[in-house]
Amino acid sequence: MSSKVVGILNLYDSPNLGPLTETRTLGSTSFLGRFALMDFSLSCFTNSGFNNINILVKDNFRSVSKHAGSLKTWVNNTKLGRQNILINEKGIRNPKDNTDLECLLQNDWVLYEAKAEVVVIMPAHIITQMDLRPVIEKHLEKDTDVTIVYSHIHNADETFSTSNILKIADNKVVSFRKNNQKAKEANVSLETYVIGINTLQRILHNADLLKLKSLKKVIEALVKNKSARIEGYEYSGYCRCVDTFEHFVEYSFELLDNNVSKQLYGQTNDKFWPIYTLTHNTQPTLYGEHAKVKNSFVANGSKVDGTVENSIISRDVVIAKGAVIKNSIIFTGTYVDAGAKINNCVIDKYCHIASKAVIEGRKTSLVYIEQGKLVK
Amino acid sequence: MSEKLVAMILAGGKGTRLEALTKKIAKPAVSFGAKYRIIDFPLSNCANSGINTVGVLMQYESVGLEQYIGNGGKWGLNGVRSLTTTLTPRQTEEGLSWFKGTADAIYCNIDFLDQCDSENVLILSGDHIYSTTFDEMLRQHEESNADCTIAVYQVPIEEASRFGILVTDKKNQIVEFQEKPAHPISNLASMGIYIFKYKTLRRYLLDDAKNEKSSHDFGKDIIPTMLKDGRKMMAYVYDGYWKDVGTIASLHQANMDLLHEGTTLDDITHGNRIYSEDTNSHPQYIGAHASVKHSLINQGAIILGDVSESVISNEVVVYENAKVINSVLMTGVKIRKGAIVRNAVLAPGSVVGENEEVSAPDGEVILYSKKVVKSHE
Repeated sequence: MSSKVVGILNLYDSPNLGPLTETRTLGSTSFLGRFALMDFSLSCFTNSGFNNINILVKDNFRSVSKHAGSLKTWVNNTKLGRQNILINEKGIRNPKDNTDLECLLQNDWVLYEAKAEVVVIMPAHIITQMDLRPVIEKHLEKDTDVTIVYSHIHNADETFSTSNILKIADNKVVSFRKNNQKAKEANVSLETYVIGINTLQRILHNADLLKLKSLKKVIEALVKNKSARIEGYEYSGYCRCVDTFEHFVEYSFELLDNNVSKQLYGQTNDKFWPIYTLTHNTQPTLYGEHAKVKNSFVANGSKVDGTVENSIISRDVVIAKGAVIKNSIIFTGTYVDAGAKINNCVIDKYCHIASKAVIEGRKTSLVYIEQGKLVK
Repeated sequence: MSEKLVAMILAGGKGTRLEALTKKIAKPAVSFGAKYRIIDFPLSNCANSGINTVGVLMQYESVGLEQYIGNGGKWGLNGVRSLTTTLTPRQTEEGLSWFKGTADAIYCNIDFLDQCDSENVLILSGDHIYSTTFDEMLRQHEESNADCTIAVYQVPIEEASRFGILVTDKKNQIVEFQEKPAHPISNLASMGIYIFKYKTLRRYLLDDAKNEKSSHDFGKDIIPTMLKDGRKMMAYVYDGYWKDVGTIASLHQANMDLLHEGTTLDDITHGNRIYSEDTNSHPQYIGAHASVKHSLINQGAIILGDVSESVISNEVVVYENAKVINSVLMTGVKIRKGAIVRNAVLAPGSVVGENEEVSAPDGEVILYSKKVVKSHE
């Protein structure tokens, strides 16, 4: 892929996952014990051959820089292209100006420096394994201003609550409106946009459009006013929109089913789609003599001597002999002592669940334990 | 840039006794402990000691090992003040020659060491499992103003005749060296880890190169000659975990050690990390009908059957109703449904077919290496 393509991960439109995203961005939220949610879109950039990779950060900068670092993890060639975490410094003083458009405008040197011809914008909260190359190819071939990637789904009334719905006629997007969640069948926007550089510059330097406060709103306006050529591109692979805490939990657990995880990993025999992530040089997982583990993901660095069922155990978690964990997600660095019982819980990082603790949530409403808590 | 200590890792050996495991790769590149390669241990030790310059000397099947070492980035040895370089036999004005022995390998790269301009040189082997820093050994070396300090390990006296044995005085100064003695009078075995004053070493290497009778080996030639010349040589007693994994049985045993209290990775590393390649694997998955007990398992493995007392690398799949007991499964091994694997070491990529059995009687270990060759249409 030529270096004239700039990939931008947009964290501005990330939905609120309740307590999970109180002190971190959705993008830096742990997923499957090993990844952060941002890894999936960043890996789409990598696997599509991008070298110019950027993240637009609205807030909780610390959590992004902790995970993404210099972004070298996601780059094919470390000399071609540049990688940047972009923040809107003006937005810190004036939160009203803290929009993705303002952030892009303040950092437009990225576009000039890369001599960008095409910009690809992806969100962190929609998980896909999308090859962007054919999307860009079609965008260039049709000489379109904006290409919106969408997926046709059958449960739009329950999912993709923060996405827009597209109506398409002759490949053209004729309507682009917020999902009112009334219809099951819909073409939902994957909030992935391919935009020609001229179109993007036109948007960024148009005071009326800037007032709309977000790129999504601008595209809505462009569709409505028919003032740009906007086409749809259908993606039919695995896609999930992590728009609520409940969906975060549901989409985590459903991947324990091999039939679902196969769709995400795309690991048929002839295709391999690595998901790149920050690695920590942790040891392999050590299972003790009393370990009883069923239907679970367990990350490296963990030590398991208790019972674990239908759960997701992240890096450096210690589960003592006699501890019982069921239907739960345990984040990095948590200790679970002998005798502790955990069912239907999400336990955030660095917690200590002491031996007499019994934490029981309901299947429909998991208990959340905040980071660093001692539960006796 | 002048440094106090540069490291030269001898990684040229074939490791013949590891049989099929080293058929296509050098011994230091053999898998160990579910995630690592043997050479990760000495390289991590160098990194953790703050050594900035590391030369890795290789000869047998050097391509795979060179590819793995790369620029040393896996061990953090690619920073602005560090240098990792692979040193293989090369063609020079005098022609092309293979390394004739451990000392010759260093001699052939004397120009590299001259360039490093280091006070001391650490020579170590690329195929030992141990985790330490060399800070204390260097401190002792400098304080005693020795020409050479040799790390020694106390072995049971009845096994001492298998090693190069050092006899020392009360102050740890070496008074005698015996190579595999029939009647050992000491149990201090040389670990093949030396710190030399570079100037002294340089002189001995030049002399040794001219000596046609020499086998150009540190243990057989350089050390005995220096001792005969009355050079000050000290023993540094190492009391941590240390294993030479030269045979299939010892490789299997060292892997199993990682499961037992006192010799787990935590126990042997004392908080130092062993750096390695972190693969872009999917999370490790333990299936709904699986059983995993007393085992070390790396990311990317999928366990659907029963695993106990075993060490399992990334991208291994143990299918339903398969049983793996007291075994080492290297990267990408597949154990099909109903198969039984017991007391075995499985080479990377091996496949055990449905209901097949690969096992050795208790107390013995079998090496299994069988790949399904993909047909290319």
